[in-house]
Amino acid sequence: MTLKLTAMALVFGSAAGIVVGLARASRRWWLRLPATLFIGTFRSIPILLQLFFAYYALPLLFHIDVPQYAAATLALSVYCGAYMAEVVRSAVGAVELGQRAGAAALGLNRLQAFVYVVWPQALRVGIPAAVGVYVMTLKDSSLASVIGYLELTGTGVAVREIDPASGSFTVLLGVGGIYFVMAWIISLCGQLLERRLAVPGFGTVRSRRVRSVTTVA
Amino acid sequence: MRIPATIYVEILRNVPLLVIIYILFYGLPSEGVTLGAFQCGVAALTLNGSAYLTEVFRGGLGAIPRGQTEAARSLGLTHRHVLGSVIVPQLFRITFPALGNQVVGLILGSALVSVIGINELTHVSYVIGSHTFRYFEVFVVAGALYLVAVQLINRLWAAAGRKYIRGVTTL
Repeated sequence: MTLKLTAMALVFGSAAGIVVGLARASRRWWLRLPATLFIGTFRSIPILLQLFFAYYALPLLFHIDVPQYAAATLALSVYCGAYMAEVVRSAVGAVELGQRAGAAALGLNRLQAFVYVVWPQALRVGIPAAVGVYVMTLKDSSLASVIGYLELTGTGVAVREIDPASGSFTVLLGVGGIYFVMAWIISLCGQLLERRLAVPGFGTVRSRRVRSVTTVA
Repeated sequence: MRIPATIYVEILRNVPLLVIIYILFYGLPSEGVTLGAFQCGVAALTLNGSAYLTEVFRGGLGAIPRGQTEAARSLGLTHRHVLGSVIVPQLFRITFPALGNQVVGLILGSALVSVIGINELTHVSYVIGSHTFRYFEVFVVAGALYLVAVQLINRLWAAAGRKYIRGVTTL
């Protein structure tokens, strides 16, 4: 359940993050403004409160039935999307201006310059930070247990309620251990991808993860 | 020295804060150690924050050129002096923006201790919501309070950096 929830949130969040991040980096103010508001809002409110909002407030507001799974996926996707958008924006911003100028000089139009010149470079720059966001999303999926969704953390706590004698310390340490391994696998995949995509002569492959968890909105 | 520090940092950064809170609050009593809810909350946030801060400072130290230490040593400063008068002031400058992020992260993380029943903003708004059934209004207000607090800290932190600390690269 943790994996399913995290995977869904990562897919939706990444998609939303790329769209919003590009809008945020746009030259047009009517694209930039809503993106800035979206990022600023969802990065400044705790994910737990967003989760509560999705699960308790949305059904009352729209008179619809929001199951736990849907509420958790929605809240995590939006949250992940806001952080991804910042990653995308800074990665695109990290590509030197000269690259665009060079592309223009070669006769590429703005769309071509972006697709063939800027984006491939931004993608490589953004990987370590994106891995950080993915690990964060994995960890924050544990919060879905608070609205009663039985994922890894929820199950760990439920074991204790069913059988108080089973030694919840050990069970919960095990839960922590599983998260640790999953986070480690994500980081490892990120490193592999980084090495795989590395272009000889362009920058160096960083051996250590660079992780910025919260950056100023 | 490096190996235990790495283990500490990596474990605490890769395990969800919620799980750390649960381990302290539900797990420790079965081992005979019982902490109050507030103590658990403080301890969990401290453990979590300290791991991230360690990484911030490690990154900051790595950003100070070796030549700084070498030059200070060749000027005849003792090791303690080099650390106190040369390295730490620079470290503070380099990590200043990241420290602000850490404060914001702490505010957002503090919402999590509501799950063990500490009366902070998120928990109080949840309780009010469940009594009055007006979740929407309550959560919007709570969200707005977090938003204002976080944005305020961001702005003030950046302004303080620009005003009082020379050579801080603010955003």
